[in-house]
Amino acid sequence: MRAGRWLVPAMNLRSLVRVLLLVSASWLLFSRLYQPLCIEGRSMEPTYTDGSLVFCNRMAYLFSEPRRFDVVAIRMAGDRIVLLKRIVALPGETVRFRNGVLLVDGRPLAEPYLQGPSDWNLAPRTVAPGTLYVVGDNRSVPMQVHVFGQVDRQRILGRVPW
Amino acid sequence: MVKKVVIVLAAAAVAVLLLRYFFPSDERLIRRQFDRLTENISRPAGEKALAGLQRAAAVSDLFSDRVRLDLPEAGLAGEYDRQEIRTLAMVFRNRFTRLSVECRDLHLELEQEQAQVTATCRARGVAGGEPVREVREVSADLVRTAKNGWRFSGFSFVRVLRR
Repeated sequence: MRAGRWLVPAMNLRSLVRVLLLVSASWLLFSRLYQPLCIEGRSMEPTYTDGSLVFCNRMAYLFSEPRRFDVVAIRMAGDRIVLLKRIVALPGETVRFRNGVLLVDGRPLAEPYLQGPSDWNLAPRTVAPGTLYVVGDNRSVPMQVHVFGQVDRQRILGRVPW
Repeated sequence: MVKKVVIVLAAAAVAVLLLRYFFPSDERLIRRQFDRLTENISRPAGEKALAGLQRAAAVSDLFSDRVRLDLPEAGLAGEYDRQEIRTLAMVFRNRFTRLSVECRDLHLELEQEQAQVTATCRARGVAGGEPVREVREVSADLVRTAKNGWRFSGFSFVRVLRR
C-alpha cells in the first residue's frame, strides 16, 4: 500500500507542487548549472572517449577567466550541439606546431594528456584579443580533419570539471 | 478541484496545438522547411535510385530561383539556379551509402519578406566505407514566396574556429 502510494501519489495540490518543484530544480540543474553532454567523435581521445557522458559546469567562468588546459564546451548556433576542446593558448600568445609538438611563445608545451604519435606542422600565429586557442587531445589524426583554432571567448559555454 | 484544473490545462494545450497546426506562424513554416530539407537530403541505407532522384528534386523545390552558396569547404561559392541545386543534391547524396542530417538550435531573425536563420547541422553517415561525422554552424537566408511560404535563397558556413 505504502509502495503503491509512493509510486503513484494521490492527486492533490501538494503532489502537484512537489512535481513542479522537482521538474524546476532538475531543469535548473541540468540546463543552467551542470549540462550533461554525450560525446560523439574521437577528437578528445584518450581523455574522453566516443559515447561517454560528461558534464559542463556553466557557472565556471562567471567570476573567473578560462585558463590553459581547461577542457571547455564551445557553443555553436546554440547549446544543444557543442564542441569539446582543450584551451592551449591565451590571447597575445603565439602558437605553432612543429613535428607534432605544440609550441607556445616558442617553447614546447608539456601535454601529459596526449597519446600516440603526431606529425602536425602549423606556421606560427598570434592568438587575437578576446579569443582562445583550442585543440582536441587526439593529435594522431591528420591535422586537416581535426577541427581546432581560435574561438571567441563569448562562445565558451563552460568547463568540463573532470 | 485539481482534476478540473488538469482538464482545463489539457484542453488549453490541445487548443494551442490545433491552432499552431492549422495557422502556423512564419517561424513554424521556416522550421518545417528545415525539417523537409534534412529529411530529403538524408539518405537511408539501400535507397533505390528512383527514390534518390525524387528526394533530390524535393530538395531543389525548397530553394528559390537564385541561390547564393558560400560553402568554400565544400567547393561551392556563387549563385546557382534550382536545376543546379538538384544536381548538387544528387551528387552530394550519392557520395554516401547512408546519411542522416539534422539541424538543431535554430535562431531566426524575421523581416517582412526575408529571414535569416543560424543553426547547427550535424551529418552522420558512411561514405566510401568510412564513417563520416561532421558538425557545422550554418547561416541560411530565406525569402517569402507569393503563396506565403518560404524558400531558401542562400547558405553559408559560420566559422566557429579559425586556425
